[in-house]
Amino acid sequence: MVLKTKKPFLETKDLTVGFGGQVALDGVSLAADAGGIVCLLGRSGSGKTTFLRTLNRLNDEMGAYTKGSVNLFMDGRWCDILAPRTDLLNLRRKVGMVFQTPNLMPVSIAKNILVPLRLTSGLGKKQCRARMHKVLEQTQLWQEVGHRLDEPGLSLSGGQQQRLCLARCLALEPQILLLDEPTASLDFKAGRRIEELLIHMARSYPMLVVSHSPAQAERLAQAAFVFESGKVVHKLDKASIHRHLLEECITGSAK
Amino acid sequence: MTTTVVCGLLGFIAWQGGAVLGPALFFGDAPAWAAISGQVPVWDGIWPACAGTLVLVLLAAALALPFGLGCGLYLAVLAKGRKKAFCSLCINQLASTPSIVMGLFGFAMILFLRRTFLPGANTCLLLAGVCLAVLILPYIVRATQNAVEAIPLTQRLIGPSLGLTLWQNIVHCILPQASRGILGGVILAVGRAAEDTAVILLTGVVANAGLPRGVLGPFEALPFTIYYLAAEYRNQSELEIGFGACLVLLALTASLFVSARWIQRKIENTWS
Repeated sequence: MVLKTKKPFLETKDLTVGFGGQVALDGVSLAADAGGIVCLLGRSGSGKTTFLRTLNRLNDEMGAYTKGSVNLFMDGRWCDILAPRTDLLNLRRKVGMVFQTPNLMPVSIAKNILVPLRLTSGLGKKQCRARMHKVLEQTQLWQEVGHRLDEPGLSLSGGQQQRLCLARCLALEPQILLLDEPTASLDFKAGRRIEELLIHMARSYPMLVVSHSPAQAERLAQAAFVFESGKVVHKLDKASIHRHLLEECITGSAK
Repeated sequence: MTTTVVCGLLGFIAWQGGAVLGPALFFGDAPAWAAISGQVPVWDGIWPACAGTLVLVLLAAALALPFGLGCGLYLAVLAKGRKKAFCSLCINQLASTPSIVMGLFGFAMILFLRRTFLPGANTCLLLAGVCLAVLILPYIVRATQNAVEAIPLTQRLIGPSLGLTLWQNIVHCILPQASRGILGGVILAVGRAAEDTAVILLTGVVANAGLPRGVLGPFEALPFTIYYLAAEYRNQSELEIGFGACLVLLALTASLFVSARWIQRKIENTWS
């Protein structure tokens, strides 16, 4: 699948998320288009990760309360994911997520992909292995690990582990990808490799990426949202990202 | 410091009991194979006590493990707020219960059963196993809870983020990561079950019961043999047999630890 046109895939209205007495997101309303990477920028604690975890309802696992509405475009229609009848397992299979630090299971490289795939898809052994081959190719890992699939996943380098996490996520054939600072724990070279991969994959998947690095946002994003104290304070398109970052560097606060 | 104390203790026991280590310590005058297979009774050896301890420990662990794991996982994964606080309080209370009280509980339970539903009920291996299982339950619960809670949040979220069910997440993501910590608790619990005397004293151990014939019969156990020999020895050689039994109990516990480690490795290999 290649996304040719810019269609909206995400729409939130008055989204408020809190943990106990603490409000993490305060009335966030935004809309994002597919066809390129959308970056979420902001300082630590500004609500970027919480926003990302709202989109696959992962905040529910941490006892968060959520108000407002979140609509995602999946299966050719808009889905209100905060509706009480939402099938969370199905939602999370369709909205794939990669975390800041690689979080592999303590099993072999192959099983990191095959176990979740078998458990969630009901595919046969042969089909699962074919899917694994495909996603390892897609994440440019096949050349590197194809001959040692039975080795522990944790024996890979940081960059390879992160790409394996991405492959594991892609194996479930998600419709939307969420990436929470995917290069934060990697060195420059491994980080750039992941970035190239993301740019390539953005042709096929609507993608939201949390980033701390202005330079990275400039390289990756077609659009960006700037978070501050749980609110979206700026919406930037490709052209204005650079200007915004420049202003922020010079004045300390962008207009 | 700890190493010195442990080495000193082990050295002292080995020095006192090492001389009697041999087939006679286990089987007395009885032929070894006939004694092992239960064809002839062993009157002056510790073999029946070894077998009784082994069966008792395995029984207690088998009874406590499913409940301990389940309760620990519930506390770490599902329970929240007041429910969690209440369950934790109960576990803490159970952990602080003296073992003699647990033995009395078992004894009272048998008395109750004799007066009500089962007039023929008597203290036995099963009762001792149940009481010991209750005694070691908090160790397994706490070890499981701590091991699961020590898993970093992003690791615990692997399953949910991939759309796995709670059970799939527990089996495929959480337990493999927590297995080492849980095993530590199981080892502690097994050690506790192997050494406890107070519970079995009131629930089924008998000085000359012979090999355990079934879970509803009496049995012998090493801690009780050691206690009995240490308290009522008539000559130096009996005291030495007591120290020999101490060495055997330590070896038995160590072999259970090694077996547990081996099982954990096997499980890890199956997972990977």
